[in-house]
Amino acid sequence: MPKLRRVLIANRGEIAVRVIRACFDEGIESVLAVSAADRESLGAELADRVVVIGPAAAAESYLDLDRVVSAAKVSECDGLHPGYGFLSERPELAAACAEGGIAFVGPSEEAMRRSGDKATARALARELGVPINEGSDVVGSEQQAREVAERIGYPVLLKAAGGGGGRGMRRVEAATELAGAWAQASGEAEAAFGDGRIFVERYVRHARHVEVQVLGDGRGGAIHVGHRDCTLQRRYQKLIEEAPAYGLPPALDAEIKDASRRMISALGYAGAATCEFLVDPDRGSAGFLEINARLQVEHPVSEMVTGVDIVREQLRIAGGEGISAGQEEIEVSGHAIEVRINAESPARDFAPSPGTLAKWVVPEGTGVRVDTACFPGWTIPPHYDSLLAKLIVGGADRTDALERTRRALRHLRVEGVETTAGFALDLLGDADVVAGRVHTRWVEEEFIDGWNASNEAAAAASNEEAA
Amino acid sequence: MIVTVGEDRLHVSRDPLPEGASLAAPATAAPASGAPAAGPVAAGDPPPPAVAKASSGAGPPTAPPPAAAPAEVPESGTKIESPSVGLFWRSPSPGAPPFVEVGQQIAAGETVAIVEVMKLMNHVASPVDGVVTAILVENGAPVEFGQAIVVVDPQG
Repeated sequence: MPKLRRVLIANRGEIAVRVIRACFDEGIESVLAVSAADRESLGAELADRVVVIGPAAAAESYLDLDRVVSAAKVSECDGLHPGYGFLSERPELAAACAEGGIAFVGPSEEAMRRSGDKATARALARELGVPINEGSDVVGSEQQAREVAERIGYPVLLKAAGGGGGRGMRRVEAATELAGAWAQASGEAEAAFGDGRIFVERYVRHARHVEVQVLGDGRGGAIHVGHRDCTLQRRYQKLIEEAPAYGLPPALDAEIKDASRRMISALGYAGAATCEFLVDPDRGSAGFLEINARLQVEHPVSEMVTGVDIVREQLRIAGGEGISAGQEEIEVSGHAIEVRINAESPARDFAPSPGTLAKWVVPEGTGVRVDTACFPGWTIPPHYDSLLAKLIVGGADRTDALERTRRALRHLRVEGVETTAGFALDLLGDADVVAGRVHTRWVEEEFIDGWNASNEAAAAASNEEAA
Repeated sequence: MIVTVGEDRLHVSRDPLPEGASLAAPATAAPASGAPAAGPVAAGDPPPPAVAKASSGAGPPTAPPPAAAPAEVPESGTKIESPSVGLFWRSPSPGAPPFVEVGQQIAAGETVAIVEVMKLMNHVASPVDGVVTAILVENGAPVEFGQAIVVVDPQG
């Protein structure tokens, strides 16, 4: 198959800009599908062509599969990149592209179904001897869930088989809480994903979230591009990501990379995939969680420490050109940290803070990358998520990268909207974060109350001064 | 507002219509060389029609030209905009007479065109009574959301 000639980008914001850039680098024409609210976006300015597909509401634009595929057809694209979020994990989109003779930049419909469903992905992992966190397959009733929980011991997690992002997920500390949690989790899973299936898993109290970036060529070949640590989260939303994941025992490190490659290879998967693991530092063990069958928000940290351009590789794979590097060529060097800068107010429980960017200055340069769709004067549409930018900073080692990230955050100048940059700066200065003594619930359980208190104290002090 | 009946969607707009910032090629074509031909009329009866019949399988067949070629937009009149990205069709099925011609008197709610999105036929209805003064897109051409497609003069 010849390389792709013209690619429709079915997304918005920073990731649209990122994919446009990769198209530029690959010599591919980019066509950006936008909603009416994004006509003036940075992506619309940068793309070779723009197609307005629908009104601002995502349901009638970025989430409308028919309109997206129609846009690719009427603009005569031979490829479609879904970005992340929106339609990116819908097997129906991969199928519609295949049917329309458009190369979907991602896995086949079947590979996406098999990897995207947590239950089948776990079954695959078990088949391949990949370690899985203790737990069950899909359970059909509260009683079955209770039996599994008794067997593996409380606390347990109830998780939606078809879901993600924390929806349809409930922690159960004791048997008495199970009935309520079951009703909530299955109801929420049904509402959010139209799929009420639930499975039960041992809850790891001090878990770290570690994931392996993999590229598959669609013919059974696969390489890993190192791993990342995404432990710093708030309500299951990642705040800060790093590459590589630090401090893993060497055997565990090798095991999860190898396991990830084997799974993606067995799926005949094409494109970028991420295999997620829950690492239990107390036991020195890892359990497979799920496969994300798409490009991830935090892919740039892997790019920074390996030099691999993951989005260009995606385009090459979709165009039938294969992966440009072999496993032996992938070397991880230094350390990279990504901070998500959201238009949110941390002091007001992270409420969205839309508005117009009166000032937008970012400290970009060697070793400091900013992936964003922001520019001074831009009005952030209120219809979509609050991600403004990703600040990605490299350093010789983790200590250096942390220091340089803090320095970069202090030089970020944003006016007109509130952002999470100051919160991230405080987080990255915390002794536990610097020492790596954190877990996935650490921000909520150990950090945020103290941060709120000192924040309020500082606000009160400055009010007093003003008065 | 979009009314869905079976596989057909009816788009009715009462909003003041802003300039559809079309990014298609600049104007070249004259309005509307409709090609009426023999054949059953599947839709397009006087009001209230619009939501009647347009089977999803029998989409108009001709391949679209690479880009839309809108005509000049008259200054006055109500500009009816495309409710979606898709292909613009002037008649309910191949060979059928067009829904409307320039100079024709139409009533509010009457279908003026179809915008096809992946075999889904979206009937676009006029929000006003009036006379069709321009058809801005060629039959079968791609259109974008918000692009002006037909102009109706309510004074007419």
